[in-house]
Amino acid sequence: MKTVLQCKEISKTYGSGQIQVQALKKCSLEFTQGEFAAIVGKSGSGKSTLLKILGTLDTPDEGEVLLDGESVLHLSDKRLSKIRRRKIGFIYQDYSLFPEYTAYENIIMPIHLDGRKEHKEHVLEVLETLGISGCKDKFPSEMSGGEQQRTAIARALCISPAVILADEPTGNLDAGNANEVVMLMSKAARLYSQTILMVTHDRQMADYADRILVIADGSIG
Amino acid sequence: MSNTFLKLILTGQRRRKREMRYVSLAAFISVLFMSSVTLFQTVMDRYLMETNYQNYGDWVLSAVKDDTDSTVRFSELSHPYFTASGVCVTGASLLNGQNEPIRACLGTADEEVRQFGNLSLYDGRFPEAENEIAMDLTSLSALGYRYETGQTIRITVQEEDTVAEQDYLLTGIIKSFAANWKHRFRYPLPNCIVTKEGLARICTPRYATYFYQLDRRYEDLDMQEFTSAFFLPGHIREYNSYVYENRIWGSKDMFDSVKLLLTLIGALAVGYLMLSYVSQRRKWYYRLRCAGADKAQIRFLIFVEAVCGTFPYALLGMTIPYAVGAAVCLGLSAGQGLPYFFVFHPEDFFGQMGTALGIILFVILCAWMGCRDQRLSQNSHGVTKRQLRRLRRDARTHRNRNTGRSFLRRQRKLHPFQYTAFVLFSFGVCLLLTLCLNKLWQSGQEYRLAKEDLHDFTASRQNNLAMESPFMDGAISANKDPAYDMYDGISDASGKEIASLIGIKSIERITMDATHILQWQNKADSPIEQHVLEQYKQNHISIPGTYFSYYEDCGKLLKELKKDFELKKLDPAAFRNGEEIVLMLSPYDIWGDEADKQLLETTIHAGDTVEIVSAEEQLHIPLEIKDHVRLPGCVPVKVGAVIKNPPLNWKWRVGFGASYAILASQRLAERVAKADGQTLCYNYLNIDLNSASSFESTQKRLADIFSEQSVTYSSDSEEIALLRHTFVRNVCIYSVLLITILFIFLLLWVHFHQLQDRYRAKEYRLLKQLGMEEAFWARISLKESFWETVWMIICVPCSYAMMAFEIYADFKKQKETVGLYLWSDTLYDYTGDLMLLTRDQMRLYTNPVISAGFVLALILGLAALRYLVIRRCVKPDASGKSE
Repeated sequence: MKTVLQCKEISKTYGSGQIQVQALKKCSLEFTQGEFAAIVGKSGSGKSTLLKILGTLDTPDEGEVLLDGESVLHLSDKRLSKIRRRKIGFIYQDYSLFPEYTAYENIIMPIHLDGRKEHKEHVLEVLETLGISGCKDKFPSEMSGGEQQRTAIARALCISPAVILADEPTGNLDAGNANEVVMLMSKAARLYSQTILMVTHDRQMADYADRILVIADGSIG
Repeated sequence: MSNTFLKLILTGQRRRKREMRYVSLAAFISVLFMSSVTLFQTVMDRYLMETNYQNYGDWVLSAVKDDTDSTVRFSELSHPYFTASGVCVTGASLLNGQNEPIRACLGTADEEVRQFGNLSLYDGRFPEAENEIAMDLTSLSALGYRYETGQTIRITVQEEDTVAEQDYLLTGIIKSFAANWKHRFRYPLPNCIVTKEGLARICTPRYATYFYQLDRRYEDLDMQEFTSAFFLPGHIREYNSYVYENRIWGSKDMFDSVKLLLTLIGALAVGYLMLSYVSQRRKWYYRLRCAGADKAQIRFLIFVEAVCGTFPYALLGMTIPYAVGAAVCLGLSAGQGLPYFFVFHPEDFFGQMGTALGIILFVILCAWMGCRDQRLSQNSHGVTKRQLRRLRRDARTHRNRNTGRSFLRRQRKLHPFQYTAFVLFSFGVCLLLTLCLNKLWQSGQEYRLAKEDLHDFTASRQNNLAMESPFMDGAISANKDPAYDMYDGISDASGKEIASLIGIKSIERITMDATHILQWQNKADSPIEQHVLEQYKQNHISIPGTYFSYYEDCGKLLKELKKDFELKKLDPAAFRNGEEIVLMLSPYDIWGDEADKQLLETTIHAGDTVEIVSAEEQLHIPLEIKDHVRLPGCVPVKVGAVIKNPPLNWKWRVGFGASYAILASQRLAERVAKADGQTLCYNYLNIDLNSASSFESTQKRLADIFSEQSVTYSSDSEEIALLRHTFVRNVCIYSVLLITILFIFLLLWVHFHQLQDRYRAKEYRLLKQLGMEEAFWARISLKESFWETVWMIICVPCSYAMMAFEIYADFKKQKETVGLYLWSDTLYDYTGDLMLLTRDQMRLYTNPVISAGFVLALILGLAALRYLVIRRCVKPDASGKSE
C-alpha cells in the first residue's frame, strides 16, 4: 500500500529557559492509504501536538513530515493552506462548526474556500452515508452533538482528502453516539480509501482502528 | 448578596484581566472622545470670543448722535444686560498737504471706550494735554509723517468754509481700532485721538458714537435677535457682529449641533461596546445559572461587572480633559495676554456624564431583561432564535460561493444592531471630520481672498501732468491732473534701499503710464474715435483714458489673468518678451444729451498689431503734454488677447476710467523707453513684509523713505496682521480638532475591531485550519471595512448641506434684521437673493474634490488598518503558538 503520511524523528519542545516541556521526542510514523489508525495516550502525552504537526498547523523543532512523499516543513503559507484545503481533513472534539452556517454550508465551506464548486450529489451521498441527510438545512444550534460531529466528519470527507486527522472526535458524545461516529469513520476510510488518524484517550474507541499506536511522554511506544 | 459572591465576581474580573482591559479602555476612550472634543470646542469658542473682544472691541451696540443732522434721531440705550457705555466724539476729516480730504478723522475716545474697547498703542501714550495727539499708522502715512513719537504734527481740517490748522505733539501711535472695529457706517470712528479740549481747539464735534458693553453672561443669546429690537427707524445704530458672530463653527446653532452630534457619537460608542460585551457574556451567565446562581445573583453579577469595568474609567475619561483644558487655557492666556478664559460648564459635564452612565445603565437593564432562563438557555448555543431566523432568511436568499462575502454577511446578520451602531458611529465621526476640513478650507479661502488685494505697503508716484489742447476755434483747454508717468517714479537709490531693508518679503514693481496711447490701422472707424472727433468739431474736448501697466512679475499676472479669462490666442513667452499685450476694453461713457449711452471699441481684435506712441499723437485732437513734448518713439506690438468689459476688480486694478487698459511686461516698457530715448522708472510698488520685519526697523523706515521721496503710500499691515492672526487661529483650532477627533476615532476603531476579533477568533482559527490563505484575510478585511465605511461618502454632501443651511440661515437673519445687499460673483452685481448668495459662498468656501479625497483616503486608511488588526489576530495561530 502507498504511504500517504510519514513523519521522521520529529521533536517538539514548548516553553523557554528553565520552564521547558518536551511534547514530542524523536517520533517516527508512517500511514498508508485507507488505513484507520488510532493514537492513544493520557492527557499531556503529546497526542494533540503530534496531530497539529501532521496537520501542518505547527512545525516540529526537529525532524521531517512528508505528505504524499513531499516534505511540508519548508513550504510557504500559501502552499500549506492549499495542502490543508485539498489533502487534509480535520475533525475536532468540539465539532468546530460555523454557527452561522447550515450543515450543508459548513460541509461545502472548504470546497468553496478552494475556489471550486461542490459536487452536490457527492455531498448528499456523504450525508446519506453518515445518516444526517435530514439535517442538511439545519444550523448547528438546531442539531444534537452526534449530528454536529457527523457534519464535521462529512465536511472532512467531502473534500476527498488524503488524510483525515481527528482529535478526540468522540470526547463530547455519549457512548451510543461515540460508537456510531467511530464506526462511520471506519466505514468511510474503507469506502473512500482515506487514511484516518484518530487521537483518543478512550481505548474502547481505539479498538475500531486498524492499528493502535500508544504515545507516552512524547514517545510512540 | 453575600460577600463571598461579590468576592467571587471581583476575582473573576481580575482573572479576566485582558478582556476587562479591552472593555475598560474602550469605555475610557469613548467617554474621553465625547468629553475632550466637546470641551475643546467650548474652550476654543471662549478663546475666540476673548480674541474677538481684543480685536473688535468689547461692545455689542453703538448708536450715533449727529449734532449736524437733526433728522438722525438719538436716544441713549439702556438695558439691564448692558454693563458699561463709552463715547467717541468725531470732529472734522483731516486734509493733506494739498488740502484734499483723506480717510482719517480727528476725535476723542473716553476712558471707558479705551478700557472695554482694549485700545492699545504701538508706542507712547494717549494724549493728556490739549496740544497732544495719538494717531494711527494710516493717518500718519496719509499725512506723510514718519512713525515717530515726539514729532510735531500739523493737523488741517475743513471747518465750514475755512481751513483750520493746529500743531499737536505726537504722544502715541495707536493700533488702528477705527479700521479693525469695522464700523463701516457713514460715521467713521476717529483715527487721531485728542483730548476734548484739543478737539475744541481746531473744530467743533460733528457727531458722537456711543458704545454699549454687554454683560458677558448674556453673550450666548441670539445676538441678532437681541440687537434687532434696538434698530428703529431714524436711529443710526450698529451691532458688533464681528465679535458675536465670529464663533467656532460659525454660529451658535452649528456649535450646539456639533455638541449634540458628539454626545450621540459618544453614546453610540459606549452603547456598542457594552452591547458587544454583554452579548458575549451571556453564555457565561447561563453556565453560572446552571451552577445554581439565582436570578438576583445573575443580575448582581451583570451590574457589578458593568459598573466596575466601566464606571471608574468613564469618570476618568470625563475628568482628564477638564484638568488638561484648564492647564492649556492657563498657558494660552498667560502667553497671549488674555484673561483666564477656562469656564467650567456644569450642564455640559453632567449632561455628558449622564449620557455615558445612562447608556451603561440602559445596557445593564437590557442585560437584566435578557437574562431570563429561556433567553439564557437559547444563548447557550451561541446563536439565539432571533439570530437563527435572520440566518435562515439569508441562507434561503443568498446561495453564492464566495465564502468571504457570505462570512461577512452572516456576521452582520448575527449582530445587526452592533453593525448599525458601528456604521452610525463611523458616519458621525466622519461628518465631524469633514466639517472640520470644510472649516479649514473656508479659513484658508477667506484669508486668501481677503489678502489677495492687500499689501503691507503700497507706494505710488503720480506726476501732475499739464495737458493742453486747442479747441476748433483756437481756444486752449488746459488741464493739470495727477497721472502716472513711466519716466517719473521712485528713484533707483530708494528702490535699492527698500530692497535691502530687513523684513522685506517681496516687492512687486509695476510701471504705470498714462502718457502714451495706442494707434492702429482702422482707428478712424472706431466708434469711440468718431465720437471724440464729433465732439471736437463741436468744440468739446473729450479724450478716452488709455492706461498702461507694465509688470515685472509676468508669471503672477498671467496666472491671475488665466484664472479669470480665457486667453487662447495669447503666447505667454511673447507676452513676457514684450511682443504681445493684453488689452482690456471698457465702455466709454457719453455725457451730455446722450447720457447713459456707452460706446465699446470694436475695431481691435486679438492678433492685430497696434503701435504705442506718445499721447500727443492723438489722430484728430492736437494735444501737448508739457512735460513730454512729442516723445518720438513708436513701438509696434501684437494684441495677444482682448478682454471686453472686464469685471469690477480688474477695472479697479487697471484704472477705473480707462477705455483702453493695456497689460504688458516690463520688457515692453523698456522697448518703449528706448524708442522714446528716455529712462524708465518704477512708479508703483507693492511691498510685502516677512516675519523678520519689525515696526521700528521696517515699517518706520519704509514710511521715512516714502516721505522723503514724496511718494504717496498706504499700509495694510494692520489688516493683514489681523487677517493672518484670524487665519492662524482658525487653522490651529480646526486642525487640532480634526487631529484629536481622528486620533481618538482611530484608537476606538482599532479597539472595537480587536474586541470583535477576539470573539471571532475561534472562527478565524477554523477557517485557517480549513486552508484559508493569507490573501483571504486581506480580502475579508477590505470588504468588511468597505461595508462599514462606505457610508462615509455621504458625509460630504451632508456636511455641505449643513454648511449651506448655516450660511442661508445667517443671510436670512441678516436680511430680516439689518437688511442684505451683497456682491454676487455669479451676477457681477449686488443682490439680496438668499439662494444666489448662499451658492456663491458655497462655491467660494468649499472644495468637493478635497472633501471627497479626504473621505476616500480615510476609507482606504481604515481598510489598511483593519487588515493589520485582523492579521495580528490570525497570525499567531499559523504557527500554533496561540494554542
